[in-house]
Amino acid sequence: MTNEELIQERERESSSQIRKRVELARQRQLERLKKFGFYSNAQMGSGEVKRLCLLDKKNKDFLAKILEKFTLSARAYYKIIKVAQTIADLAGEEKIQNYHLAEAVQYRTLDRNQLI
Amino acid sequence: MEEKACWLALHRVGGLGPVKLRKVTDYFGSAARAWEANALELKEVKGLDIRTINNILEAKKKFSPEKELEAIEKLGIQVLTSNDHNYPPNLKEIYASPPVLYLKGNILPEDQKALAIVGSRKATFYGLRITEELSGKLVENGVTVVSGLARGIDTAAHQGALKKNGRTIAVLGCGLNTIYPPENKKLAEQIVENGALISEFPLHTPPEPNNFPMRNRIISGICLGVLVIEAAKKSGSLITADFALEQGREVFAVPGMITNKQSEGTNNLIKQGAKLVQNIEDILEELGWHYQAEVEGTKEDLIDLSKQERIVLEALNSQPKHLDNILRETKLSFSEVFTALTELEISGLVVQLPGKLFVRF
Repeated sequence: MTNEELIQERERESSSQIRKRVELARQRQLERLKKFGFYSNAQMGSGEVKRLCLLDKKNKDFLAKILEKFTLSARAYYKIIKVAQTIADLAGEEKIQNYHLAEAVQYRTLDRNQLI
Repeated sequence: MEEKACWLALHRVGGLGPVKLRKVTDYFGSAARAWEANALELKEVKGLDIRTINNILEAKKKFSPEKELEAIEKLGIQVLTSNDHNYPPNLKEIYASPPVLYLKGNILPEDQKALAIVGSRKATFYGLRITEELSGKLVENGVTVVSGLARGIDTAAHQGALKKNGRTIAVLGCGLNTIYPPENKKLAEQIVENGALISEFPLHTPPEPNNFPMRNRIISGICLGVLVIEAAKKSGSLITADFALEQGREVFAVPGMITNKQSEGTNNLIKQGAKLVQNIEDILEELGWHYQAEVEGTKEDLIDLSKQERIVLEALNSQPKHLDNILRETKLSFSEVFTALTELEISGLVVQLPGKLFVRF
């Protein structure tokens, strides 16, 4: 990669743009969570996840495949949904989509089973 | 007394290695007569030293051949001598062929069409991957895969054969009562169901370093060829390759990067004349075995891939590639690449390695 390319790549989204995006995401989360006294997705327990992060059948089928493939724990399962919710919030999307879940899975590498 | 029990008894005598033991039984015409011989008669055998004779006489006082054989057979273990129909025929031809083998599982006539797959215990991911793949394709072509149940390449060779419901034989460097390494206990059980565990050593023999070179001569001896996948400069797998040459077996090696330590030994083998292997046809052709074209298509054909998945898959190969490079090369967005990678991982087409590295599987 040339330096030029590097610079171009960095220009995709500016820090101030990202900041705006993060603030909006925070706002969404606060609105959704304030009745529980929370302000961020990370504070949700499994009960709140079940009530607030609504998954459709497509999402659930996808998660089932993920659980089977990566042999994740129940705790990891809720973590993935919470992270997926945050990714959706940052993208400005109301509902969790499979690609949000897929991205969330990519952030969990350590508890993968093994290589082969 | 029963011939087999006497073979077993003589085999236990210290100082009576395969060659000397064969000499003694040849002299007397049978193991039973050798076992029953007295000191004077034993002294008549050329090349049999006084210490070994004393060892035989001592053993006769303490050892009850028939009881011993019965005890072993009760454990579901067979004792094979070269007179048995299921003693591996290829093994009879070699120098110092083992007079007695302990066997768990079964050996079939078709196991004569055998190839050994050996290699490093500290294999690379690439090495393990191609071992599984080659082993699987070999069993699909009716070849029995023989290896040593060690960590790394050996384990992948057995697993590759079992995954394709093929036959596989493990030759151990310890007695059959011990499985070494211990994490391969379950694998060993599966091998018993689909082939055999074989050892030349009495049941309680621990996995001592000296045993392994001896064991390696059996691995190559059972087979018609030896495929070395990854081996460092000084590797036990190279001993197996040496035995193979001595025994007139074909030696095959998979080339590797010249910067890769685990390929130094294999690249050297190729330099010395081992056949370079890129696919199983290279092996089958050399041994005059028929190649059956693959029945199923490639893995990719079996699964419907999205456009993004296809782009990501095409950016990957067997060399680990970092996420950042995948993003850059595919020009896809973060979430597109992540979604594609997760889907591809679920389908088993891509594997993630530590450090956000991805390889095509």
